[in-house]
Amino acid sequence: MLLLWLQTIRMTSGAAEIYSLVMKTWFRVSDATEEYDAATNDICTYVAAIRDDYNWWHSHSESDTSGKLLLIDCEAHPRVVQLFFDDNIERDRPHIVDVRTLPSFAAVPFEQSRGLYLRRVEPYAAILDDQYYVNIAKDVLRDVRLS
Amino acid sequence: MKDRTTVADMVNSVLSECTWGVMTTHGISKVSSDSHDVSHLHWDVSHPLPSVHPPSDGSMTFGDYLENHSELDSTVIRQLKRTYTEPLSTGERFRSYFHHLHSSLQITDASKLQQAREMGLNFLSSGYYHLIPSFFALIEYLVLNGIQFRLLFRTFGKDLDCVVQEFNLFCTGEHPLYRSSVRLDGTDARYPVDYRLKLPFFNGVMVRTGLTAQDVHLADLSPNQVVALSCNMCS
Repeated sequence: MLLLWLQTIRMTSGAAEIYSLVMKTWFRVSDATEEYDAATNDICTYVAAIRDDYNWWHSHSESDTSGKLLLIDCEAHPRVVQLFFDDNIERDRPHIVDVRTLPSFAAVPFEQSRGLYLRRVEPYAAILDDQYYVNIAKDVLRDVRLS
Repeated sequence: MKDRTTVADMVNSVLSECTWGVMTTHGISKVSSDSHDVSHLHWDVSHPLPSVHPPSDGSMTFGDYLENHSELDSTVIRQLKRTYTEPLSTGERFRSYFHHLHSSLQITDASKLQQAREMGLNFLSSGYYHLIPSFFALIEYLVLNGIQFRLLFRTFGKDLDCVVQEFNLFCTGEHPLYRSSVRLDGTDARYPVDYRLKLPFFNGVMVRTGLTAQDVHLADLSPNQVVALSCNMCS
């Protein structure tokens, strides 16, 4: 008997399937149908990374609906707060982040995503103020507790 | 980021996005590929200090003006932003803020810089911060306050290896520039969670091939593939 550890490339297609891969397979975030059990929740990773499709964004004139994909599924994870920090989110449009809701894959209007899912990073403040992100987190947590 | 920029370029661009002015005419700037020739620009500073919020109705940052109210091509816009506070440039009066911001990103402790070089941390050896302290402070805050979180780095570039290397050093308490009050590699009994990212796993590449939900693809390495082979040679 020979045991081989293989590092195989896994290809996942479809927005819902990718959402599930990241939230469930990578992060083991319990969804609304599961009872969260910290003792038995076998976390795979707390930190992960994705390299997004720059060519797609560039070939679509850097439009608001072709950037880094942020998938939201409020029904599956009603208690999860997703925050996307990026200094290329502009003051009046998402620009670099393409927020989509599942299962429809409909683009979320900036009026709705701004502040809720998208946080424009102000590099000037983030560099000079060591508490910049902490203060944002405090604001978000306060809002969550009030809601 | 697809092209090489210096820290000075980046600092100038940051300042062009948080200093405010007004359009001086309703004309459209169209001409000149010379970034030092600012005579054709129809924008003047109206507020003396950098600010992340507009100081008055109708004001716009220099960057906003260039990108949304001029017809300059992207190469010229990029160059104007990267030289924004240089002598004779539009934002020359903000040069002192350039120096302040620039020095805030510099590693001033020579021993720590030397340590980074000895550790082979190429992204720090040029003498500038890479991940900034406010980011590390956020992670520390979330952990210390018992807030469950997951972190997903997203990039268009090829900088993930450096980011992950630096983040993992932060987790093990070995980062030369930021010492957390808690170890985040699972060895601290108070917080027995290992936050390090174990590349090459949990690292995907996204590709989009069309406009529908099915036209999104993510490639990653599956970490749990064990294949048992039986063959004659192994008997």
